[in-house]
Amino acid sequence: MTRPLLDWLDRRTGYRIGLGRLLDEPLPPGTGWWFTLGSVLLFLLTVQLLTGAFLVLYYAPTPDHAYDSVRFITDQAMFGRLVRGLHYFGASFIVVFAALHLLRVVAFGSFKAPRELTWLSGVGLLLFILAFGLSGYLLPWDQRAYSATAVTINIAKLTPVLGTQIATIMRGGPDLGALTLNRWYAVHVIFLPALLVGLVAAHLYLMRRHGISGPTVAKSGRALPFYPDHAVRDISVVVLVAIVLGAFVWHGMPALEPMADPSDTTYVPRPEWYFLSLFQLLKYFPGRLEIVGALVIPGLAVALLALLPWIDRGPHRNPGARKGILALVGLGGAIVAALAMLSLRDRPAIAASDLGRWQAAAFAGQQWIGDAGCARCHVEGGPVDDLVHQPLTRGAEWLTWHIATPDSILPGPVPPAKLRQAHAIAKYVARLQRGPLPPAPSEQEQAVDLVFADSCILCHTLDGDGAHNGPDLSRIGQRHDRDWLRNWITNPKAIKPEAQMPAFGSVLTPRELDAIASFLADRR
Amino acid sequence: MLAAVIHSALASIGATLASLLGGFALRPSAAERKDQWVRAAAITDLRLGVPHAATISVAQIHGWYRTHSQRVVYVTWDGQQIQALSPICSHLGCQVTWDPRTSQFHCPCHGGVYDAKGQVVSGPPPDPLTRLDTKIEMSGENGSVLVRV
Repeated sequence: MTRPLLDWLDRRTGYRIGLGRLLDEPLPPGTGWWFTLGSVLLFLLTVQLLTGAFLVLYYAPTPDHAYDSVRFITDQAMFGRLVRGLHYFGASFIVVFAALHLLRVVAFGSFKAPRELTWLSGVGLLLFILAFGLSGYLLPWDQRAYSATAVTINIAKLTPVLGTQIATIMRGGPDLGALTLNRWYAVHVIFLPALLVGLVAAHLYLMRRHGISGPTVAKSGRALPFYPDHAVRDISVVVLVAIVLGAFVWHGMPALEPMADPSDTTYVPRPEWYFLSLFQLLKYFPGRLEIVGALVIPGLAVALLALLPWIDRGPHRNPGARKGILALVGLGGAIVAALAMLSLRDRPAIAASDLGRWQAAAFAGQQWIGDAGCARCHVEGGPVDDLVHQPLTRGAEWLTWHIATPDSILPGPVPPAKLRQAHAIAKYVARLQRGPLPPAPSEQEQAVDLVFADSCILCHTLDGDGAHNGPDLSRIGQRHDRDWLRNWITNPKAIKPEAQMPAFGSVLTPRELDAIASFLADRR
Repeated sequence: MLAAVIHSALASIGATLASLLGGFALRPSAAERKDQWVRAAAITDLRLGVPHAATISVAQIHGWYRTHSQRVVYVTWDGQQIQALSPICSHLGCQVTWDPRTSQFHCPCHGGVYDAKGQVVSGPPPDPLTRLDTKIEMSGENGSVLVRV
């Protein structure tokens, strides 16, 4: 039935000849499993293009909507977490397999004449892959997005002569904002994919033109066609990689940090793992030498990589005859790995993961929210979104004022909350949307949370939350014991006459004083 | 002769399109940033030698998008003068945070350290923290610190 139709199609298009040329490529004898990495990359790039195209169905590239649209994709869209997970973890997989593919090509000397241009197009593809990672950062409009983009643009600003102009073009104006998000989105979903597809086509064309390089020492025997002899190896490895990627997607959660907030000075920015070595390198070049770590060394490394076919020009591909060049590449890889390890070791005490913890103010908000009357409207099936699905992009300030003066939004019997309580409830609502509730706090913890959110937070910080006018209380137990802390909170001037902290002995109950002193003494 | 005509026509079309699209993409449409005086803190908020982290609201125009962005500035009083410091690290633009234990500003990205006046103590920053212009506005007996951003 289909045969006559396919014959008709072949007579008009000649597709069978084209397909035959594509699949019947003769491979050198001994072409083995190492030569499957390119096909794995092709598979992963296809997954990225497909999942990216479908993510665009829901993603909205504006500061008011980007974060909430990513939350919607992750939490509410059918299979959204999996599709976003494939895109998110797939990006890391591509970097891993691009590095493995590159190392295979270097180890086998496959870049040597006449394959110099194949190699150059491959190096170009590696840079494109990293550019995809960088431009994709900004799109969720979370804290990491904002910080990473600010640092990236400041690195570009170091470019001699044209640095300021380049930075302005990357931002789309004098400040990082809506125009920056728009143009990075356009670069990520239109310009880079178009260039990538073109470069992949050129890479594959050049690979076919010169043929697969094969084993480093030519073996005798009959050349085998790509299909099915080598294709079965390719598909086996692709299936294996797909299973591992699927496991990451199934068990892992694609990262989404708190929404971008330039006023949060407690945030500790860290890039994606594959940029950690570059991030660490920037620490070692102080003052005017910063350009060395930011542009000169990375630029030289890329130039050396690109020029490899002209550096390693000998006729031999056998690794045993090229120990010097392989040692050099190995040293480069070891330096990259060591810098990444040092970067992990240098993480400050308050890291991004710590910000995911439930903070005292959010706990207090949980206790106050029952009095605030939010549940009159914000329930599942109610007239407005329930608390878990509240849009966050209006910002913490809007949310706080909405809670403090609810009748400005909807006149009615909802009682206004005290501003401090509104702050705490806003923190609770924001935190609620980033994970499940923690275990119920004990009576002592409840007392501490309320006291902290109502009083201490005005001057002190705890776990990165609060004001900076007094000492950070996160590790206060290392310096003072329970009794000293209780006496100090009761009347600081009795211990230190010039103390600026007000006395709380007549403000808090003895139970509250005991609770907060014990809690702080345990903070070590 | 004919080949030259074809090449010239193609080159003209290409150059026109490139100029049009290049100008469209590369010439940022946002207006120049305009300075604003913003209230940062009440004078009574300030404490001797301890930078006050003031959250300010800055009007921003990004092309079609107008918003008020929340920022932090550090307002300090050394007993003689009030100054305001931008929290943006002069190295690569991360936000520094005040550590009351060491009385220093620390950059969480690449380890830059500044003293309470914003001068570089250690690490990679090439310049001190940017000082913002300040002025005092009195309203009766109450004074406010305004900063220019």
